Amino acid sequence: MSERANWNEFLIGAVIRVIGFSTIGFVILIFFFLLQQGAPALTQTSPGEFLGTRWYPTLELYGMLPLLLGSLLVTATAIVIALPLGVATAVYVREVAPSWAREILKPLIEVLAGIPSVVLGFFGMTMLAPFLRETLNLPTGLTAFTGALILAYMALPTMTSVAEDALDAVPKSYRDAALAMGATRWQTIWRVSVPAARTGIMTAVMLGIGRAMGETMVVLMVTGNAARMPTTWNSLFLPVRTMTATIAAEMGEVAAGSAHYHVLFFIGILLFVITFMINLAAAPAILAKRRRGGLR
Amino acid sequence: MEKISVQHLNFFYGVKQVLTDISLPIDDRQITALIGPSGCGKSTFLRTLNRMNDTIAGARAEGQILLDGENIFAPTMEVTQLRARVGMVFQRPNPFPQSVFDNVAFGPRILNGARAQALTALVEASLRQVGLWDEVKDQLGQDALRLSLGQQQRLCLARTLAVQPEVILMDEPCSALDPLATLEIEELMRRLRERYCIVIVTHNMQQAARVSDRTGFFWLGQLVEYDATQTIFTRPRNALTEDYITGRAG
Ligand SMILES: Nc1ncnc2c1ncn2[C@@H]1O[C@H](COP(=O)(O)OP(=O)(O)OP(=O)(O)O)[C@@H](O)[C@H]1O
Ligand SMILES: [Mg+2]
Repeated sequence: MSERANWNEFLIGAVIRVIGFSTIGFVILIFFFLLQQGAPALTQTSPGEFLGTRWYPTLELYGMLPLLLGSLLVTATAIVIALPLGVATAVYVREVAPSWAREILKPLIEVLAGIPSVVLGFFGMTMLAPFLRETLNLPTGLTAFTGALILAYMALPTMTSVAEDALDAVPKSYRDAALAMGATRWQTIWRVSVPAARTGIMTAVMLGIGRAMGETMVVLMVTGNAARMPTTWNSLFLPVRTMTATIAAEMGEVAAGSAHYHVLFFIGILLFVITFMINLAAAPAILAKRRRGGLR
Repeated sequence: MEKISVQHLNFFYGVKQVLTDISLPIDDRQITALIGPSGCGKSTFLRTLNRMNDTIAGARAEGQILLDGENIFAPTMEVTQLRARVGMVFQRPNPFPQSVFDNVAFGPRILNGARAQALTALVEASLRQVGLWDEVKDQLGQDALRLSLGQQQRLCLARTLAVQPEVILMDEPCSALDPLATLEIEELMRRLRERYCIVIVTHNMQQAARVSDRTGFFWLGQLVEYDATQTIFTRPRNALTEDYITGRAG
């Protein structure tokens, strides 16, 4: 080996290292940018106000509770819908489907993940919302529920494939033990395979929450965007406004440097922290999976 | 008394024939050992007795296996009921990643949705049968995977016993265990012999000689010799058997 080749090796290594670290650097930079832009909100307004129930920026009322609860309501509903569907799909693909059906379904599910959210939002506005308005006899079809349905659909592919990996990792010896005691195939699935895969299924839930929480375009398009407190049961079928939709809708019109502007950044910090925590909670399981041969 | 009667059994994985014309009686309340070199079809044979091979695509059996005179391949035979009657312990201990109690309660729960009181009693009785009760009675809620391997294997046996089977199949049940745990399992088998029909596959000649009443020697998918264990180990009729048990072939 010549010295020149060694030098090349060193250069390539160095470049890759710089690129690798710079992505981490960017994340940190973004966080500091958010902090820098959001922190003034704490002095320009009284932070206690953030816990208020009224979001009227024009009146300088910055109560974030309706937005926070709006995000939580839409996300939680989406996960409640997506979890059973995701697990059932994973069980079907992994445990029930004949191999030819599995070969078709797996890539199909991946493709679903690739549909742009604006397309789904468009579908939600023009098809789903009118449909829900008529069948449920609602004043408007643009509701938390409409958003949750579409978010559930969006979270489904990831949740399914992570849950399927988890099922795939359940040792065959567990299934054999159950079958050898006279368990039927369904008993084996529900009482052995699914419980044994519960860590992975929790990861799927975490990833689904992260996805739904951060999604903007769809909720902006189909949830109606009324910043009201979702405190009653029928709130699910009324318009809500999420944190992401608020930032997206208002950032364009706000004067840079104003209190409103900084408060929007502060909401961004909240979102960042929430999704970061969720990802952190899911991290150990994801890392373990990578070590075993990657997320598929 | 004859519990199982295997008649002209042929077995195939796809087009590959693994067992050829096997016929043998297996007696109740006896321990029957199956020996033979690796790949000769012992496990396959054992797994036909409870039809676990049904789970393998392309696997196919010909011939008859009578359990109390009833053909297990007959369409009227419920495979889940068959497996409840013919229990199995595997080579590597495979408790579920659940509590000790839930492991033993698994079978009774799925088979007849056992009531809580009866279930507790049954779990205790099963654990006592395998001599594990005193060791785990204070940690029934603990994850079964935290037990030692020997304890795990006895737990698996207790799990099988809780289903109240008539036959117990064991495929090299001690191969993952140390000598002491192995002796414990052998001791257990001798006790269980009073109540069950036991079939064990083993690579350990001494083990077959120590615990079994009858021994069958498999070679390339055929049953070469089947006789009282004493006879097999002292005056085998077939030269191949003799070579194998004395270590000259295999
Ligand atoms: N699922 C399967 N598909 C195809 N062939 C198989 C399968 N399982 C076993 N075989 C083949 O069947 C033959 C018998 O295997 P089997 O496991 O019954 O042997 P064995 O006597 O139990 O061996 P060992 O002592 O190593 O456990 C072997 O040639 C093996 O390769
Ligand atoms: Mg074997």
